[in-house]
Amino acid sequence: MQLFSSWTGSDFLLFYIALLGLSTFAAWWIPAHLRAGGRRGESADAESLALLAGGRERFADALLADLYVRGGLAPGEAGTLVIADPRLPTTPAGRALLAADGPLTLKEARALLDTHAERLAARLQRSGLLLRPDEVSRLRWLSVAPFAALVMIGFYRERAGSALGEPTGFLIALMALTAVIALIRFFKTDPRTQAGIAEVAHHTAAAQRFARAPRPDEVSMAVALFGTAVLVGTPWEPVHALRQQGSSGDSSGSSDSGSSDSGGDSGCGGGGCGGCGG
Amino acid sequence: MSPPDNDALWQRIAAHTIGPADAPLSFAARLARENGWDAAHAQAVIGEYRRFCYLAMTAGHEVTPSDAVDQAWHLHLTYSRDYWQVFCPQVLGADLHHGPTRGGTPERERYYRQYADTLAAYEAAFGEAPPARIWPSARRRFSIDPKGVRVNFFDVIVLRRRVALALGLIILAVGWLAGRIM
Repeated sequence: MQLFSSWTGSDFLLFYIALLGLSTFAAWWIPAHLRAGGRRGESADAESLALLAGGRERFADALLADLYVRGGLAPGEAGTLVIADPRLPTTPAGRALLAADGPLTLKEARALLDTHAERLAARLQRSGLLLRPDEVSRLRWLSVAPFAALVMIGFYRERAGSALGEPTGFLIALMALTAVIALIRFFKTDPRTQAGIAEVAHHTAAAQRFARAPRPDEVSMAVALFGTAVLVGTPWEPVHALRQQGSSGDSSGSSDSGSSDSGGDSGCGGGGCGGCGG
Repeated sequence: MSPPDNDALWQRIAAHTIGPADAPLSFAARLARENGWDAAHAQAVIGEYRRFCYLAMTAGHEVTPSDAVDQAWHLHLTYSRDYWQVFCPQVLGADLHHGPTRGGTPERERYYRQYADTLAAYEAAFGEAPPARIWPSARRRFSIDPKGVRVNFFDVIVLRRRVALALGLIILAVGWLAGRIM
């Protein structure tokens, strides 16, 4: 007896769509509930939180922002940053950036930080905030397993339908959609433990003000937790512009939000008002 | 910094009524009317203005308000007898001058730093982050809010960007359909 032999094409498509919905739910439920718990120890520093919150890219962004705010880096030509103070006290990763020969692009900065990001990731794995590579791999495969089963069912029905001369275009389109969702899920697997996620959530909740207007000593943590978008409207916007250039691959400068309008000269308009007479 | 609830300065600021209490058009109603706010938002802004004044006296550094709080401050300054003869000497115990920017990058940076310091001082003094809809991000404060201008609704029609965009798309679609039909 052949499976689904008594089902019409539209019956099977409805069945497939229902299973696709369930598989998608499972693909998000599995990593949310089956990831390792890990453990939270001492409060993580800005570099660790950057890696936890946004991966290696955020790690580089937070370091660049920290060095820029403290005068180690300055705006260069064509959207680069130049070394302004190579002797600025900083972390080993920061020293790697300040030891660069010429102006830094985002790509070069990330390349210089590769080794440091790997070391930091290994440390976070040992401290229970990041999953080990084998755990990430297992989570990935578990997440996409329902999709794989669904595509196999669909493939079986498509072959049977084709043999009978039935139209199978919709089914093939749904199978392609299934594959795309599976690929997204596979490559977007969160590599953090539950403790790592909780650590970031804890710091994010406690630092909401940083997302609006960080003070100089808060910039590193602000970028670590919220990304370089928090620098828009601040004196350190060139770091965000560098990030935008690195992301878009063009040379259009800062994003739309990056008005570098210096405040104009009309009343309180540009720079706001302030100053108590006390 | 001491908790405001037990602070004499804060109690005076909180108890002070701006403008005549029996005026048909109260300070809060005028603030709401001039900014296109509802009454509840205007009251919330006045509450934040009070907190701002407290910070101006206690933070130990210059402070910068959000645009909404600044509007309350501007309006209060126009009630000049109350502001200079009652509020500053009797409530604050010192003059609180309003210093608009001189313009230029250094001023912009100075006001940014003051704004960031003000938000931090607020959090320290009141034990909570300032409300985001009245104390927005630096981007909003220094890049978008300064674009505000006085508008008389008798003379113009004002549409939100998204509404204007939707209307434009609808007109385009209708025009295209009409072209197909005719």
